[in-house]
Amino acid sequence: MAIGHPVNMSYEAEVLKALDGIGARPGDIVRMEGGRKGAEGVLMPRHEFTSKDIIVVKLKNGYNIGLRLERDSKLVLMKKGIGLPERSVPKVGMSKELPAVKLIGTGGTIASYVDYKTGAVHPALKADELVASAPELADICNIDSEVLYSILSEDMTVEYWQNIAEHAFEALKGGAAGVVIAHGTDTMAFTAAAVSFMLPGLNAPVVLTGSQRSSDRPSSDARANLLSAARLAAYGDLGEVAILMHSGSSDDSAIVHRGTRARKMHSTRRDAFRTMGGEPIGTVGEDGISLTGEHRGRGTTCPELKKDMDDAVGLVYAYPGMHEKVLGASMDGMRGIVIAGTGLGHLPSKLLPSIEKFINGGGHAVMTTQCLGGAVNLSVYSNGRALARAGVIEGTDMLPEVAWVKLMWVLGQKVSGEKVGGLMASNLAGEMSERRVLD
Amino acid sequence: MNGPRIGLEIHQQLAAGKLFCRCPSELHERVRGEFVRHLSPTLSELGDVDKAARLESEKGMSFRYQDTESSCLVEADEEPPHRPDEDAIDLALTVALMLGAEPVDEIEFMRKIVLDGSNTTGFQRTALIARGGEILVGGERVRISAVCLEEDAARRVESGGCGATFRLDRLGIPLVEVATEPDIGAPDMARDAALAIGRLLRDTGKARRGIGSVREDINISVPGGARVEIKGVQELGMISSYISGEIGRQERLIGIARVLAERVASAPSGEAADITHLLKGTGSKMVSGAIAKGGKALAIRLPGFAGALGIQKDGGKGLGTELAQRARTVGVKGLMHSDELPGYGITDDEKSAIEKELRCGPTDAFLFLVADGEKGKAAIARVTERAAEALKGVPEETRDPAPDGGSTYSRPLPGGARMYPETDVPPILVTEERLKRLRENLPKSAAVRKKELKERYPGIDEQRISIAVDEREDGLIGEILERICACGAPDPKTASVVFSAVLYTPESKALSKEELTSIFTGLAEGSFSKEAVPAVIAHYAANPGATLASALGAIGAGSVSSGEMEKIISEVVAENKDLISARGEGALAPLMGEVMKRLRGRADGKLVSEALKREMKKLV
Repeated sequence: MAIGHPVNMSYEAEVLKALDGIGARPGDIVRMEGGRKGAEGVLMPRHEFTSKDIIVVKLKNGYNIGLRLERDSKLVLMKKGIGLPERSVPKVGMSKELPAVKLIGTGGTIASYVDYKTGAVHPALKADELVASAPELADICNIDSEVLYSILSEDMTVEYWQNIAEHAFEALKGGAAGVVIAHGTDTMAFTAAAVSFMLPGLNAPVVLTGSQRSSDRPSSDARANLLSAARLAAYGDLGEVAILMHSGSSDDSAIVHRGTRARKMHSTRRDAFRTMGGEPIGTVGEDGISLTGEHRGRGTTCPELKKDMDDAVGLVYAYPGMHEKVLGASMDGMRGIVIAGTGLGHLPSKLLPSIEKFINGGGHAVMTTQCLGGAVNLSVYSNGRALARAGVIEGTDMLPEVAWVKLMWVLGQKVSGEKVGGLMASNLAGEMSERRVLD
Repeated sequence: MNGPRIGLEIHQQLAAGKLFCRCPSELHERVRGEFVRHLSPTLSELGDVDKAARLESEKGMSFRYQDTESSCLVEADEEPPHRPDEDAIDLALTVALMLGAEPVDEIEFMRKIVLDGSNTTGFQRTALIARGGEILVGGERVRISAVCLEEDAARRVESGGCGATFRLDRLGIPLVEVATEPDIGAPDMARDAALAIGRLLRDTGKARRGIGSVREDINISVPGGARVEIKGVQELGMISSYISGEIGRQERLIGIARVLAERVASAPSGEAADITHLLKGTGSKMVSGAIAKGGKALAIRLPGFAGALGIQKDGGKGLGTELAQRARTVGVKGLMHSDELPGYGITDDEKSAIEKELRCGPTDAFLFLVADGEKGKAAIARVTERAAEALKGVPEETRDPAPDGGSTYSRPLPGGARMYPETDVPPILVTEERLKRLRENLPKSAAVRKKELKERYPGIDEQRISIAVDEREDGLIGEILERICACGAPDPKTASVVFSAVLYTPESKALSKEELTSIFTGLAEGSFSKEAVPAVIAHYAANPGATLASALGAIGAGSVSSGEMEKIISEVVAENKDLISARGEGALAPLMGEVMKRLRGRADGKLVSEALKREMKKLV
């Protein structure tokens, strides 16, 4: 999740005791008496960083202020709160005439809303809430929405990916023109890569989208991204998993990245995502969909669902002086390891014996480059040649995290040990390229 | 209270860094790049209400933003806010303490929803710093309701159609807002209260100066009226006119409501009638032009409103203006109503035909506007709404000040519900140590500072010090006076002259002690006139290592011969014979300016003035 934390409702210690003493809960009207600092207002939940002895109240003019609970302060419960009313979500009518698109909610800031009474930011939990955040969706396609999860994307696991892939698969099998997956941006690229491998022979667009400014803000990028993603899913001639996000700071154009080539390259900007090692697939803007980059078009055959994965795979980042313990711990009990090596794919030489031991014990090691641009080549320097002799697999120009997801998927396919290297070296879902050209 | 109730909100830009990023609080003319955004009302704000708001946002207002050297990712809403500027918080707390207000124990920043595009985020970050306190205005108490610290909005550089362009340089400059209770009873008292608060803010020495650095919102209600806010008044001198105008407007609206009630007038009902066919051959160019472009003329009957729309007995504008301003909010430029017809090219016959079509009775009024279908309908809806409000009197609203002292409708008054916590900014505990430090260093009032400076630098002309304190920063004044004294200033008069010259010459900060001393000596020895001092300073600043001689040479200073002076004077007098014969001695000042310009400061002003007077007398 990029920005915006939920507000902690809970007061602590003395303040909590005092509030409990009068039976006050956030949302109630309370009055604090004592000198000039007296105030009456709605008791607010506390921010994580609110000081321990502070009570936060919302005054009539809308402002929140923090007042210290002192020994001589007197707290009075004036009125029990009206409670937090159930939000009514306007039902958006869909047209059966338009192409069917499945919208899968998984969490993140793309579908969250703020409770104006308490200031708490809640994720959208209902399918209707997802659609209501961009009612214009109904003009684009016939949306069938479903909220699978409401989690922060850093909490994703292999199981979540499998469930998402399965839902996308079912939707396409059921005749959907495309699938949109609303996802937190932090690990969106990981999920995109996983779903790419899990749906071989994909025949329609599966578009992941999210927002860098949460949808509880008027300036959120969620709405524009969601609408463009729906447009791409409904009408794009694409048979791949893609990530769609802003192409720049402006709201009027979105860019389509290959799911196995995209990377979040900025912590906060709307255009955080970049296609690494190649051209983006295209753009979706006010003047329509334009897929100018190399891509697979829609197909008529149904995709397969191959969702098995072996999550006993580690991912490590090489650095000078890297301690053996770090590498050892990453490989201990694992069946695979992906290294984001330096330069052409290197690791401090002293770590070679550990790698050899891991491979000889039946483990699979894949080398990628932390340069993020260009390919691994283990033939150029002696350190690289030693790694190659030890049996380290060259990850060519795969992004480290994509190679990691791929190795889990390859190991999940239960192929024999010797075939792992071959599969890792094959281009399965556009995750690698044979040529690299001047821009 | 029986009279009007007036409250003020004074917004003053602070001379501190931007509130939520480390950009300088400076305006720029160079634009580095642009981007385009849309703002949407958020889910919860819409809730089950306001279809109109949603319609508005669906119209697709798009805002263009200009990036400058004074803006970063924070202003572009591409990065969360940083910790608030500590100096700005100190300043806001200082203002609170000066007003005798009670600071809060913990400052909680809020987001105030603003969807007009002036904030890239769609909200303004603001925090209440203190409550209470008071100021005395002509011996009367005006209570302070709140002191707030907030970020300034982006600068609107262009408006039009379905969007606007804003520059990001101003966005995020810290503003302190001082809000009073509605304790003010008269327009002049409001002006005095604004002056008093403004002076207090300037006493901090950290109030930014220049156009737009102070803005006032005025809240006004008369008995039986309603709270109306006139937002963003920039000229202090206009406050009284805005208030008098608004009092008049409210009283007029109350009077109209009374008449409407007697007549048992009612709000217009039913759909607007399409009267395009009645105006097909009209002589009104405005109407026929709009119809030719495909517009439709839509009319409604206003039952019982005859006479309420046009100019009223007191000479003020009637409801027609109010209705027209509402129509403008949806982009319909104007309307015509029966009180002003026949007129504007609409004949009596056309008026009668419309009345017949709408079945108007003798006390009924009507209005019509010409616009394309949807827009016209939307405008009629707004106008109908406003007509219904007229039955009750004065609607609560926000108004924009107009240059003529009047105001125009802007939007309904926003409520407190538009505020929710800014969770990206952690709350700030106001510690006792901080308050103690600020209390011990409270700024002195201007009067005290003037007195102190006069006592400390008895040689400097008192009036010059007074003006300096009112116009320039304290730090700068003190520094210059110190430096002048350090140079062993010669006679008080020379010191005073140099003081003013240095104070108002931007380059003077770079002056070394030697350079300053050379100016004193040169002046004392009469090698150049005091008028040449700014030019000498500028020359020193631009040419490091320059000597006084080289400076005087370069700027062509040094004393001018009396012959040359006389020549220039007679030239100027000859060129301006008409002016002299028309204005007599009154022409002295403008001619003096011209002569001094040609002399480039190479002669003493007093001598020139005497010579000029002599020359002018010859002519008269």
